[in-house]
Amino acid sequence: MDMDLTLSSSSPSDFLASVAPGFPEFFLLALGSLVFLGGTFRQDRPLWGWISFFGLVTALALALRPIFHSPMEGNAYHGPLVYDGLSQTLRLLTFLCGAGLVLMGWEEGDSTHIAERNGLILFATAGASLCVAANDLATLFLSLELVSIPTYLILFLTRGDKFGRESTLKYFLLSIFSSAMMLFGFSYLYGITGSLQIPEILAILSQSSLNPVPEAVPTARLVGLVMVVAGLGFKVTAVPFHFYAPDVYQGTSHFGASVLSTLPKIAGFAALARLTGLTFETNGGVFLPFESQSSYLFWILASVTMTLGNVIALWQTNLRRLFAYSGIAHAGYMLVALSVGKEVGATGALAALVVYLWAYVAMTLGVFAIFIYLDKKGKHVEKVEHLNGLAKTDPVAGGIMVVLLMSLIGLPLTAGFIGKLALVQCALRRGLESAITEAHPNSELRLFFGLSIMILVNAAIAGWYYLRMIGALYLRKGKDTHPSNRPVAALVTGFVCVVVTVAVGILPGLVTRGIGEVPWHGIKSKAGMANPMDKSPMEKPPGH
Amino acid sequence: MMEVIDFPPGLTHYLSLGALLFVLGLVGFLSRRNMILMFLNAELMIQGVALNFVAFARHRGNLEGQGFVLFLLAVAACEAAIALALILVLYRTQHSLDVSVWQNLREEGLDPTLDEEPLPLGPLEEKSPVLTPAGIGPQQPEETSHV
Repeated sequence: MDMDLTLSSSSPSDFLASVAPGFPEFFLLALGSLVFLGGTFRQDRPLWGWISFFGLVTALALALRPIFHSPMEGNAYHGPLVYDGLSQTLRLLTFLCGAGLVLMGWEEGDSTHIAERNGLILFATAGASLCVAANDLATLFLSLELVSIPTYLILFLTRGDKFGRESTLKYFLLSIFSSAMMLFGFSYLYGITGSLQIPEILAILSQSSLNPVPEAVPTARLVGLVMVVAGLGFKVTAVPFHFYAPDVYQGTSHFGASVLSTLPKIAGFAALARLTGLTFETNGGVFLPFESQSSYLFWILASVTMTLGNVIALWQTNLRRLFAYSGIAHAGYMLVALSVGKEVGATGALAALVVYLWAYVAMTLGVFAIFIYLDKKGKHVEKVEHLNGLAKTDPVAGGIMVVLLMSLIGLPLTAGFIGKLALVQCALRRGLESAITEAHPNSELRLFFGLSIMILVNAAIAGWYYLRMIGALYLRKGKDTHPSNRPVAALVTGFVCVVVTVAVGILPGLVTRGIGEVPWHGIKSKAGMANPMDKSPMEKPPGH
Repeated sequence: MMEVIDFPPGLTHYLSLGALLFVLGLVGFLSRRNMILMFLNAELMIQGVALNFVAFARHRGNLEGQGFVLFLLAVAACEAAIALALILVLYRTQHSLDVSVWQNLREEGLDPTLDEEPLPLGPLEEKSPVLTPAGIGPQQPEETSHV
């Protein structure tokens, strides 16, 4: 990459060509504005529900057409949006997630602001979808804000009592605080490299790690890295930045919690993957934009996040608080992929991250959809014991819940299992490959073997609280009989989530098209070393 | 007669000022408990970032950083609008701008943080006089014509 630091000489038509693939998102933004405008005339649940739902389905159909995701000739790395494998698969996930949110909220909450709420979901979906394709820091920042700002309003609208207000306040203040941290990191990355384009920044950073550089650059690069990870760590609830999650989830409605646990996390993980260079193509060379600092940073974050999330979740009785900690733990698993990184040719990390992200979003959305389905005016589903005997009183909802919980535990044939398997494989590969190729093999080997063992131990810890819920569904006696007039739309959402969970669990290749395969086989033995790694660590399902 | 200081401020000075603003905002955000001041401190952090971007843009000789700052200011304005609306609603429910009033959500079995010197409560809102709703005409007997 040349170090041309003048303004890029792209003409307006080039610019138009490079943003044209974002048409589905722009369509959603326009539709969201229309829904907002219409809301001043009518507040009609079915009307705005159908419009938003069909808008999202249309956007999904548009996104599948090759014209809206084919990379531009010669433009792929210079436009504000890039449509590679990562953005395509996560874009589909985002649109599906948005459609699921609209369906879940069909009969949920009060009707006074239903048009606004649906419009805000459209905005937030478009924001998350732009964020997974963002190719420069400005687009990334704006699309992250396009997720955050509607989320504040959804949190406020979805629950009007003092708990809802407190959770809105906590989320809002900490969110702008974390945005400011992320922006400070952005300013240093821009300052070191003189560019806002993410590929260019990463390329210059990797060059400067090889050549002699001014003394201040490594420090400034470290400041940039830490600040950006801190800001995005808030979005994905990585551990030192997770404090808001349990309170906010508990204080808001099931619907608000389901928005918070899906869209910002998709956006945050996509942004982290792009900024650490996971998506960046190298010609077989070693690619080190942040030397190995980012790898160790994510190693610490991942191990602390998953352990703390799972251990604290053991004590929880409030369902949303429990799922906040469960979400923190799952974020910890996904951070493993970022820790494995791309340094020693461990190509599967991105695929593993994407599989796990699909799994996580499907499982969490499905669980919250069932909570909304069960939640009735006057009798809320707040505690684990409210699920007692569900398998008898409502076998369909109970069955959906069991499959989702099994996936959350990580039992085979579900997406949760395949995601964890992929992450463990990546960590083991990283450890082995660095043991073969590097000068100080043992420390890396120990680090990453330790990380994969930590995933397994954590899956076992998590099994306890998920199994407690399965126990409540099947072994306890429920009080109420099957009540009528529950929202069918939420049940449908839960069912679709089960379908996605099982489909990804059986055919993970469906969602990793274009970003490389998860390395299911062991590493190619280099230096005459026999393949010491098979799939044995995950042969028996964890969680018992 | 004061000596005119011929001292062109360089990148380091701008960056130091930017970092100073950022850190002041950070410390203020973490130590204040008045909601409006917390929000203003977060804005101060963002202004420090903006200064960084402009200084780097000048140093690098391209305009990308300047462009970024324009977006930054626009988003900060959006957030200010939401912040003020939210804080107003919160003030109306509790008559206080103190964040430590909002402690209903916390880990089970954990006591709320006690404030030794709580912020004084604001005055209770006076009931504003209620006007007759505009646009509704007084009820009149239907006009009937007997032609």
